[in-house]
Amino acid sequence: MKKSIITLSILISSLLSTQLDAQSINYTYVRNDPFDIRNFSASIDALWGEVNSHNGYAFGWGARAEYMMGKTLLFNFDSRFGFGTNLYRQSNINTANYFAMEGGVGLIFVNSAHTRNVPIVLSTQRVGNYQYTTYIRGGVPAKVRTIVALRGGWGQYRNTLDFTKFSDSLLTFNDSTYGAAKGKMKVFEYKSDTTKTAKTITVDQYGSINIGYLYGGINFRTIRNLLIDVEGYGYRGNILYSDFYIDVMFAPIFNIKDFTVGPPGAQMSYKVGYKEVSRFGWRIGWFWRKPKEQGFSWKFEFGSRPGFKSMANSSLPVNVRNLYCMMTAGLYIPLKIKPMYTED
Amino acid sequence: MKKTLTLLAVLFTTLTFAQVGMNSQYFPGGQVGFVSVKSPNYPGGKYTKYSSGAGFPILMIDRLASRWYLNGDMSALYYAATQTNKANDNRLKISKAEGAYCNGRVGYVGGNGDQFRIGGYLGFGWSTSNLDSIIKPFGQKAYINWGLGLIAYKKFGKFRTMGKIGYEIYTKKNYIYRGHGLYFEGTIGYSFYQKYGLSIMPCFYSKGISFYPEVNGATATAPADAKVKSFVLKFGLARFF
Repeated sequence: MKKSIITLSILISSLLSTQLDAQSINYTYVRNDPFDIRNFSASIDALWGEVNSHNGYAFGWGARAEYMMGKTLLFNFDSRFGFGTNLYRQSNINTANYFAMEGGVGLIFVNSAHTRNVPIVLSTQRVGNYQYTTYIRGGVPAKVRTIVALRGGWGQYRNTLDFTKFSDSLLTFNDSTYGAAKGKMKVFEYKSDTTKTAKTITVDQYGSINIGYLYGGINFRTIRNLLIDVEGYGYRGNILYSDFYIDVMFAPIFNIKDFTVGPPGAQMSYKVGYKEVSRFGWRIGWFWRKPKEQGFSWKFEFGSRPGFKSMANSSLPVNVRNLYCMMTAGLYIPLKIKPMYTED
Repeated sequence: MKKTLTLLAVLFTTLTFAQVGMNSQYFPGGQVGFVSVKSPNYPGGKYTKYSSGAGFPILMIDRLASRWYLNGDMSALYYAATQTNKANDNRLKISKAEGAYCNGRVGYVGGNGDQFRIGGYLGFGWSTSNLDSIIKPFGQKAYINWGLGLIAYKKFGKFRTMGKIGYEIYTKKNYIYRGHGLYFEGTIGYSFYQKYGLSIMPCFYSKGISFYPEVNGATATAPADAKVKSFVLKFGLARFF
């Protein structure tokens, strides 16, 4: 008897658990064509923000455009202008407002679509501190377009540079080390006039940096344009136009602006340099928009800019003063501009 | 049978919403015009009345699509953010932050066909006016605004136009004693390419505010009257439905 009850209990439990996990979903395709897109988008980015080691942070507005021409070419343009550059206001002559601009071209060598299952969210419910999301089990077969391109271009970057973060022996003022410049040479101070008793004025240790760089790398673009009508839930979709890119940067131009101090008319200018310059940098980034509809576009990027080489005695192979992390947000306009590639 | 079909067709037509409207997406956009503030000003005693060019950058979305009218405006906040460098460097003579820090409007319009719509809307948000002649935009005080308005839409070929008239009440404890405002907003949009084009929005705002001014860093105990008037042309990209 006992055996029968246990067997029955296990049977009922397994039946119930099976029943609980069962999902009976009916749906019909409304749209499933990743080639039905708008191949151009332009955006005035209302806001971007960047955290970096050159001056701490900067934020501002920007403009961006990308165009997929035919089957084989990509074009991209991105610019950022600062209206909140940290430390910029500390000097009228030495610091610089944040500015970045770049443009490039890509050569597509994979441009095809494959069917694979993609997740579809049916509902999201929040109970207390928990959020429950219901998906279609196993996803829905959708055409996923994959584009892989080699890309390259030219960029320009300018920003304020905080010298106090470079209190090492590599930063030089007229070929003297930062320590000597600060101490013996008294680069960061001057007398208000020529008399011995004149007041000593201390100058903030902020300058500016300018980098001109070539970049090259690989760009992975994914396009999904799936819309289904789910019985009992309505329209649900998996719609995405995203880029993932990895670039290597090479900077033929790396310049720290000469540092100027002194009263008007009697200013001294010091040539600022860095003994060990690393011409190479790298970055990884993501970009998101919708393939066809207008909306908000987002870009996230982090990396290490070309510039300061790590000190020989440092345990780190890279100089952390090159690191940055940036995000942009904008409202884009998508357009169809010929020639366009459609799968036939 | 023919009669029934005709009747059904007529009925169906009345139930179908035509794709009408436009989305003026000043995200960001620009504006030109002037702002005039008449206010008993105590800090420094510099101004009792001043006029200045309106702060250029704006951040606003003004959208009428089919039946629903939506407006989101953060123009004063965006202006403040864009002036951060200059304000901290004391290069600003006076802050030009005027209008919405964060304001929203929701409305519903009636009418059939794609030529004409008319309706009303409600608005609520946080706004600012430089009544104390502050230099740093983020130093300005905010007040709550709420109100209602009427909206009309008309299509002329490639042109789309909108007109709005609204009334607002301003309130904030220990800052605004009482206040109200009236405004007119017009929009002219022109489609250049596919569904996109440009829109220009001439706007006139008039505010009468009784507020507690700042006197040498402290808030006055007696309210004083101030008037704010501005006329601006806002412009930016637009999407058409």
